[in-house]
Amino acid sequence: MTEPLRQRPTPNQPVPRFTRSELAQHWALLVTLTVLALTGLALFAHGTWVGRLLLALEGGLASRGILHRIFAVALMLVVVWHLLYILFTERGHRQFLAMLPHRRDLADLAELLAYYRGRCPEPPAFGRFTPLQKLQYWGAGIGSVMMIATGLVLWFHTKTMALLPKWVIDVTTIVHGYEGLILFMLLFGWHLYIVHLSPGNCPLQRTFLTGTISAERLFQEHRREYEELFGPHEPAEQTQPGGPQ
Amino acid sequence: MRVVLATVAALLAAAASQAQSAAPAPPLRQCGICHGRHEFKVVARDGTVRPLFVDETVLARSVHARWQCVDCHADVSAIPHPPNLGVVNCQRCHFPGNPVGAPEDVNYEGYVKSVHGRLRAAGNTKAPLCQDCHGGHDVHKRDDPHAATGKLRLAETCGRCHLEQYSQYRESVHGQSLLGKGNLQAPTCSDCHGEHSILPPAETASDVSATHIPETCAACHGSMAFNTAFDIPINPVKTFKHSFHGIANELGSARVANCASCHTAHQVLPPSDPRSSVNPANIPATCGKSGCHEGANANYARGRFHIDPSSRDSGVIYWVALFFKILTISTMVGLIGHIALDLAKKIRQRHGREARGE
Repeated sequence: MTEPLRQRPTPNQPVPRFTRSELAQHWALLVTLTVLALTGLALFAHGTWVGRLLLALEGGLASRGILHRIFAVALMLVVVWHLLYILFTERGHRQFLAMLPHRRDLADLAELLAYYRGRCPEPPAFGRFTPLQKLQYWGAGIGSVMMIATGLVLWFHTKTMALLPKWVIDVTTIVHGYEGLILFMLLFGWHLYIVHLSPGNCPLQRTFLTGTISAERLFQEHRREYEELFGPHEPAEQTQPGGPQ
Repeated sequence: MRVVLATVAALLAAAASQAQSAAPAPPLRQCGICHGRHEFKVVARDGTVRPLFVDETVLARSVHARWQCVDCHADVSAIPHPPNLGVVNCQRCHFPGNPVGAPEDVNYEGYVKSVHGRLRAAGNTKAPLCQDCHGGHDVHKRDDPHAATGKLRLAETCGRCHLEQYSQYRESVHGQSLLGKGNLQAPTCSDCHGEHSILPPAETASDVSATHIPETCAACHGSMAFNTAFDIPINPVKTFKHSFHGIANELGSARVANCASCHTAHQVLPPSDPRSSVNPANIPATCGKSGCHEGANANYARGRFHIDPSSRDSGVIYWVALFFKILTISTMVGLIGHIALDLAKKIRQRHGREARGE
């Protein structure tokens, strides 16, 4: 799949980016975190119209709790699925290694900042995952694990309160609330902006549906990955007959 | 049914001749021929004694001093009157627009709908009528220290029937403060339960129902000025409302703990008191009761209660909350900052391309 395609691609040529399993994992995470966020916000924003509206939609306090727990179990399964994927498939393993933080990410970020401020004419030549994408991945990953850990303590509070002093439970409650809020901002604010709402992507960027990215975008946004695949020349319309379509 | 004492029979016979000339309204003086005697009483067949003595001085200092006996005991038209007179109906005078100037603000409707009124209407003669609480002859205005429904005497009045609750209340911080120290800010029965329209706690509309208890307690404990004056360092209502118990309670859950679940209804005592349900030694039993938190142990008491994460007094909870507040705000600033930079760059680029005519 990552076999170098030495021939120069056309700008609109789709380049495989995510496998079916990765798209499915993304869908599973999207659905579980959305329901968890909405059922969590119903409690977090209690006393406001947002909280009241969400709670009414979720059928009241009791069914909100049941929904939250069902999707919490689903999230745990998604996390386990992802861990198995990165541990036991070669593809997953390689993707995970590419996702690990790297010293070059800091330089890339500095360069991106310089580009934003007009000190640099071109955006930095990012690899397969940009530092911002790594932040989104690790934010969602660490956030989900923290939410699961603190959520389990609160779910089985009758048992955990007998094992842990009361103040630990109080701290856990606070961490679960704030971490949930941070995760919400990260995914439903920042991630959504970067992927779908920013100029050029709005209203819908289709990679999460098709699993592919156009050669042009790959060249613009992941220059180093593009060069590994196609060499240094930018995508161009093929004029010579017999070239790739 | 009743065996009238022999001495009384003779007196009645003597009174009968006098009464004929004064009919149809025997004056107080004439009723006093019998009811003015301390020894006037009836003994029921089961042995219970019912005194029939009426102290004229009590009547004379009551708000009804100017009325004659028959104004209330309206079914007496001759002396001697038959035994088993009907109960006095206060509504004879206390109705809106009455011509005699009796106070009209009587919450009779509230009483009829109350647990007392409903039981009485269902035929329970132990349920109170007006005179059972307000007094038969010693009726006073509510701010009069003699009033049976006055702040200092009400608990005792209610306690005539609700003995267990009264004895618990008398020992509580509320009862000690009001009855012991005479502190009129401390609550008596009606401050929590209401006056005429008392409803049982199981009914949602009741002032002491699970979902109404917090606002009932908040009438006093919602104010930090009040709490500070009584050495309560935190706002118990505000902190409760932010806890899981408080949120679920506000959303109508009757299962979740309200103020009285932990502090008890009538035996409220400060946590420092070893008899208190919220004394650290009693916390496991309190949290574990009613199937709430089975297996509650000493760990339940390790930490503060009614914590305010924004108060420095909350210790580690304050610091963790502060850390996460800073983390949340800096994350938000970072994300919004990036979005702003990215948007600005892309808009500038688009303008640049348009300017170049691309």
